[in-house]
Amino acid sequence: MSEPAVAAVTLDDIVRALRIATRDSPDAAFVIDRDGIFVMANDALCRSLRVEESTLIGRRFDLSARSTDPERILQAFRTARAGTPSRYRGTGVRTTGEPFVAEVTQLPIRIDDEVVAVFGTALDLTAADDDDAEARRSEDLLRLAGRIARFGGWAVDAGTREVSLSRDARVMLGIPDDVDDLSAAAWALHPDDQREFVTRELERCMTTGEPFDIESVMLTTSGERLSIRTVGEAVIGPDGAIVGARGAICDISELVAARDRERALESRLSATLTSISDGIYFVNTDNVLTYANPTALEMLRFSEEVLRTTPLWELFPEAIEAGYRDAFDRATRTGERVVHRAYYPPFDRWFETTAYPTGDGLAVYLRDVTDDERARETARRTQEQLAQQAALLDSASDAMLVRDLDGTVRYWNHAAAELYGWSPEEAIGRNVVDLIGVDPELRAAAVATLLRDGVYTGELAQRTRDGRSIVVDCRWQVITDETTGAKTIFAVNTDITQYRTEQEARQRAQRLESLGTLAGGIAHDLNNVLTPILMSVQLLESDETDPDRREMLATMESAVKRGAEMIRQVLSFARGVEGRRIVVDVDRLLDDLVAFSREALPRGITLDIERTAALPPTLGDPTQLMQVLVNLVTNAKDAMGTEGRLRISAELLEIVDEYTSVSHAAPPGQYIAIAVQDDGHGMPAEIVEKIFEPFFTTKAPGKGTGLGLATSLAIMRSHGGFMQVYSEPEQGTRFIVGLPVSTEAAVVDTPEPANRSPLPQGAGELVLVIDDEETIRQVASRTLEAHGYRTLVAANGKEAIELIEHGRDPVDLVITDMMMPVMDGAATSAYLEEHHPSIPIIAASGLNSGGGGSRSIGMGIARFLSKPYTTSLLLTTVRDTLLEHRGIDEEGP
Amino acid sequence: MPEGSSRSVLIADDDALVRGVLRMALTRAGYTVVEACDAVEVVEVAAQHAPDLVVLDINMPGGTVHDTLGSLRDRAPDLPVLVLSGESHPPADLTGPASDFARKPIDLDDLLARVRRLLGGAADDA
Repeated sequence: MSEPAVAAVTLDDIVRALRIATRDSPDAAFVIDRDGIFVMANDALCRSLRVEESTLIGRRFDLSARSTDPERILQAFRTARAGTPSRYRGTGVRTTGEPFVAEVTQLPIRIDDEVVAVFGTALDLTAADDDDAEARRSEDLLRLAGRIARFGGWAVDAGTREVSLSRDARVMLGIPDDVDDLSAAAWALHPDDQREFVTRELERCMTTGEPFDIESVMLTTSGERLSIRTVGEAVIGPDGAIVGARGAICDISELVAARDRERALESRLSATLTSISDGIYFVNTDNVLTYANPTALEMLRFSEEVLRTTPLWELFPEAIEAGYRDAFDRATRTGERVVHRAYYPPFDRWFETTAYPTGDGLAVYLRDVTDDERARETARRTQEQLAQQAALLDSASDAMLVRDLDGTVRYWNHAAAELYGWSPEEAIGRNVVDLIGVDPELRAAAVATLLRDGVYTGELAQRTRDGRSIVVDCRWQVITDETTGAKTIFAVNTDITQYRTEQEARQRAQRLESLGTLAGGIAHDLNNVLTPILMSVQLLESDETDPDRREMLATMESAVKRGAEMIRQVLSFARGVEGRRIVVDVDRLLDDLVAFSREALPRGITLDIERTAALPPTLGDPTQLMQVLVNLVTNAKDAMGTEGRLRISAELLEIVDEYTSVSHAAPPGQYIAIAVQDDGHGMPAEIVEKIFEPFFTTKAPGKGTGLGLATSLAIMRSHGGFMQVYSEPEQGTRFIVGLPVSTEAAVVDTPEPANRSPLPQGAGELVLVIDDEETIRQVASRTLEAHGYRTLVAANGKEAIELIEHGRDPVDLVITDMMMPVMDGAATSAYLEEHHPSIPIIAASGLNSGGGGSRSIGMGIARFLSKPYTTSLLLTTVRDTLLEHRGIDEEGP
Repeated sequence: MPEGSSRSVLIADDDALVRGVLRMALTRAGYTVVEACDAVEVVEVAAQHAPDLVVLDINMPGGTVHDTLGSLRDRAPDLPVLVLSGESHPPADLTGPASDFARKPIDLDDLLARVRRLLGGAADDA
């Protein structure tokens, strides 16, 4: 019998087995012989050290391990070689210069109780921060290594087929030392199906000499099922023939079990990943894809082959800009899950990646979120549009509000806040009627129309927060919610208060206009009607001797004349007022008005004067202007009775925009505003509305003609000015007249003598002042009386002649107005010239130097006095005329 | 003796009542009166009777007062014309052509004074 084949395992067997066992391990594994020379290094170690295995084999491990502390690892190696496992944590530098931290465990490998080599594992802890987890993995590895260390040797004789086993092998398989037939016992441990396979491999090895490396299942004598790796090679005899086979067996049950578990897991995971609709892929630390499920492959649009060989960022450079790489890097750096959503332009899609850090790279959950993003974009745009619409509604100048059918406000735009004075916060939730309602019945009718027709348009009176009455143009609409069916009212309200006011003012002006036209026409005809009456009465009068009948005729005559006077005023209202246009000193006008007021007002009425010093002049007819102001004071007096307070004020007023007054729209410009304000009984709005109409009067019949204000308005209009009234019952009335400031140089019609020369004084001469305007009569007579004259006044030529013919004292001088209703200046002059040629006549006229005026000179008229005249002009003219006349008389025969 | 004596006055007014009362007044004052009731007639009557004075209503059918004044003055440039007007102020463009104005309703004394004055010069010449 030949020397039985070595029934013990060799170091080569063990190394071979370990290489297989650690091939796929993520951790570094190596075997060094007793001399400290590398005999095996797995892929993980080579990767970690950045070298090929072939470079390591045959070299001193302590010098190749690139440890910064070679002494330390040598010491650990010696400990292991002495039979005690060792472990240490050390640092090193890779060939690339990167530092690393590793935990190295070294275990003795024994063959028949003799340490033949050292098996080592190294955990790269450089990137690890969880020592415990790594330590657990390390424990697993140790256990694995322990199992791997259970090696047994075997040999088979080619001739006898007799099996021999090492003691380790027998222990492993549970075969007692005293077994009778070891071969039979050994083969019996193979299950039937396995035995055939193992036999075949063995026979092949012994026939062909090729080594084998198989895995099979064996049952120990105690029934334990082991996974056994069997490596074997042929034993060559001295003659070169194959004499048998020998090898090692290794219990890899745990390895197989782990591998099975892993496979099961992997297959389950793979099935799951494949089936889910989202993309999942794994990348390694080099950013190269290691796995991608079908969805991910589809989404990434590259073949799996390309994806598995090319770094991600080379394939998807645009993804870097889209921020994906930063997200992945952050996940790697922090060890935290990082979600990133971005638009990827090349695909025109949005993707969301969730990167989960794994031990060797990243697991990436990839979702195409384009639809989601587009929906979001649409929603965002819708939101934007809504915001824009809201902004539009808010920027609208019309008040817009939404309210429930019960009136609860739901929306209130900016313009509504401006119009009504309630902010949206205050208005929303409150009832619209409480906020702005005025007439519940009208509003109810409007709402009824709205509900019946779906829309309502019309005008409504409303009120603002501060109680102001406004008129709005309403456009209301019922809006039905498509989903809930709830009805709300959308209201657009335009403030037309100003428009209405202006419209009313326009209408009033138009009404005044047409009234004027009508009245003018009637007045003209009335004059024709009155003419025969008046003349007939006068003809009858001249023949009549019976005093009673004369008195009756006189009554008729005065009644006709009163009618004629009214007609004259109507005509001036209708046709406008003619008058002079000279520079009028407004201060002087006011002086005269104040003087008149002091005389005309009862003691019980206090007079307040409020004047801006040195008002600019206006262009106009001072007599007419005085008439207007006197009329206002008279009206005020009548409104107050015997007690009250009258205020006369004057100031400069700048009208910037078209100014709507009750009666007249004044163009922009500078005005002198003179106000006459009383605290009398005042007037309600409906009366204020009509006071400028001719014949409208609130005075008792016979007390007023109803023409005062109409004429005043006509005068103001003809001056390019305006007239306004404010009145409240029981509060009083304020009239304002506005006169345009004259832009012409303040050139007075006739230069006045210098103030320093004393005004000429009279010597008790009797002057007869004839004028149809009472104011003029009063002013002139007062002036003359104040300067040494005596005066008589007459309203027309007829009265004047009466005074001259039947007066007690002879008249020394006559001042006559040229335009008078009854017997005017010309007729009066003609009469005087004929009957009283010794009385000099001064003709006063407001007419510009027309034919009438100039023609009058010479018809007994000594001098012409232009109206309005100043005090000094009046006195000078009177004195000169008297002197001249005396001179003529003295020179005469 | 009536002041009018031989003087003749043409009264032109479309209102018969006005013409009537003017006729009465002027006749009483001793003037000879002829009448016309429209703008056409007044020119014809003036041509026919050669009056010393025309009392002319400002507003008559048949023609404007300007035209009437023009036609009258064409024949007799020095013919005085007293224009009767219902307005407060006669139109400014009539102050030249018209010799004088009287405002309606007409006051008897006023009318006679004006008529006398307008005829005065002519009376002296006569």
